[in-house]
Amino acid sequence: MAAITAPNMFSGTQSMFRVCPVTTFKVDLAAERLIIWNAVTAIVALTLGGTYALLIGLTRWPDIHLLSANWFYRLLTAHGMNMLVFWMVFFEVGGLYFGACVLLNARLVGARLAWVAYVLMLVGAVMVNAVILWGRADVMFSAYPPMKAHWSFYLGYILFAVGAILACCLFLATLVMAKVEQRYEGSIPLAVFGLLTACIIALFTLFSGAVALIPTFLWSLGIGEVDPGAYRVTFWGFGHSAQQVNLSAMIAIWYSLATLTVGAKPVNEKLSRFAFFLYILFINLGSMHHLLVDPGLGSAAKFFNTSYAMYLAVLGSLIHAFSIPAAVEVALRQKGYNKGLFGWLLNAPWKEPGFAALMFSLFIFGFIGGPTGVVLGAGQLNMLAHNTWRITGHFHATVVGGTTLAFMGFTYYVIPLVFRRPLFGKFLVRWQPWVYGIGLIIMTIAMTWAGYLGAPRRHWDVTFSGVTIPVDVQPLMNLMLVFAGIGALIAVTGGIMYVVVCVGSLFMPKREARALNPLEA
Amino acid sequence: MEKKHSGPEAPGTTVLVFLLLIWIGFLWFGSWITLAQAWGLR
Repeated sequence: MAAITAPNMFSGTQSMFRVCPVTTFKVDLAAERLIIWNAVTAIVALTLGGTYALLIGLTRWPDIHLLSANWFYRLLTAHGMNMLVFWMVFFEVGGLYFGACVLLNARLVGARLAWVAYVLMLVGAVMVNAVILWGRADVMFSAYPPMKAHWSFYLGYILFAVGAILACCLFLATLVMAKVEQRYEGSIPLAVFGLLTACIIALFTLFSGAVALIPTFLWSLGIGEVDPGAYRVTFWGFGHSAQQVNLSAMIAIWYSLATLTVGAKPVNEKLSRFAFFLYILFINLGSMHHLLVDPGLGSAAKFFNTSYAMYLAVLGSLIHAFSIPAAVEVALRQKGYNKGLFGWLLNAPWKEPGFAALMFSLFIFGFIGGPTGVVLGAGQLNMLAHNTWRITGHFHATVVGGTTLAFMGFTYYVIPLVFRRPLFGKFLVRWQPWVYGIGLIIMTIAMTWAGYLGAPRRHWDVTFSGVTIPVDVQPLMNLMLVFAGIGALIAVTGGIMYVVVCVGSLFMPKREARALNPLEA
Repeated sequence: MEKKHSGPEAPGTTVLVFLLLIWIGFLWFGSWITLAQAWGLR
């Protein structure tokens, strides 16, 4: 490996770079270490969350009903925190460093501070996991007052958020210095623009989270009061916008995977950038869909935000939903796969895990996750769907089938190119997106259907056995609960395959990647 | 200047699928409203 140094304009220190033999990008070694540590920590969080997912799935399957009530709610909280917060954000922070440094051939600004950010996030994550397993924080990921957790839960949450804010600021500083030091020509690439969108949304998201969580932290120590309605408003200012961060990051990865697998170029790059910009402007208003049942908020605000405003954010998604498959189709047709309507699709590189992950992610997000979200955001329908398993079906399709699967596909490029280790278990790699994707399709459709038939969310016993006034549970709902359990088992298998590949690859001998295709690298 | 998309390199299938989805959505929505009115649903 040839190390090159480049002088930094202001501090006068030197940054160490290496040149990637496959992509010819200049990789800042300090950034590389941070990408690796953030990614590995993300996968640890995913493993914990996935273990809890298995146990929860086997509890919601009425015939198995594995966990006791206390442990169900406890592990549900842990599952939510590990998956939605820790896995996502650690991976995204790694992605930010990757986008700002590797894709722009730039040096990481403030590498020491980046390690401070990492430690803050790690300490926060460990604190939260510990206090949940200790049994002092059975409050779910949303932690609504007047449910009160131990103060260390809120403190861990806040420390994690502070670390993430710091990482976002370092990303922005790196982008600015990359421009000043002229490390790249022209505009930042579209994928980096997507990550920038994610970063901007993340900053106002985390600020809203601070406004929600700091008074709640003080309340848990006995200082001051927290109004539950006010908490919900500020919490969901954090909560949904955080999902848009995941969405922007996922779409940036979709464009990247399309380029990596078939050499696709965006059909109209300006339009794609405009679509990212729509997210920044409108998603926080769209977050009102979490508050449609809240009594303290006016109807006019609810309907404006979840119709006019939210649909503009959805317009952004529709632009990307067209742009990416169109770019893949153009690229494959240019390669000569021109026969009929579907010749390009049939001759696409389905064997490549990145392509399979991209397609499954696009399908699950585009056909199951996205539309159910738009539907559930409408006021009248929300009255029927609120707190049912339809909500859970929706967000598992978006975050698990969409974002997580895209991140998994991207990991298969990161390991040979950034970790510089060949992939372990190439047979597992080839089939993992299929197993995970098919499991999730079954699970999310079953969840949505069960919820439509009345299955509540965040509920230990949805058959309501042992209640005084009997509940009329439809047999079809029970069948859907079984399918959800089966889908969960298949999906967890896909998750285990991914973790086995990642952990196994860490122990493979280090060597430079030989090709872009991860199965040949 | 960007090359205009036409001929076999145009993303015809994606365009068709999108138009089809929009058409189906329009049909479904329109028929739902019509039936809802016929059944006297408000």
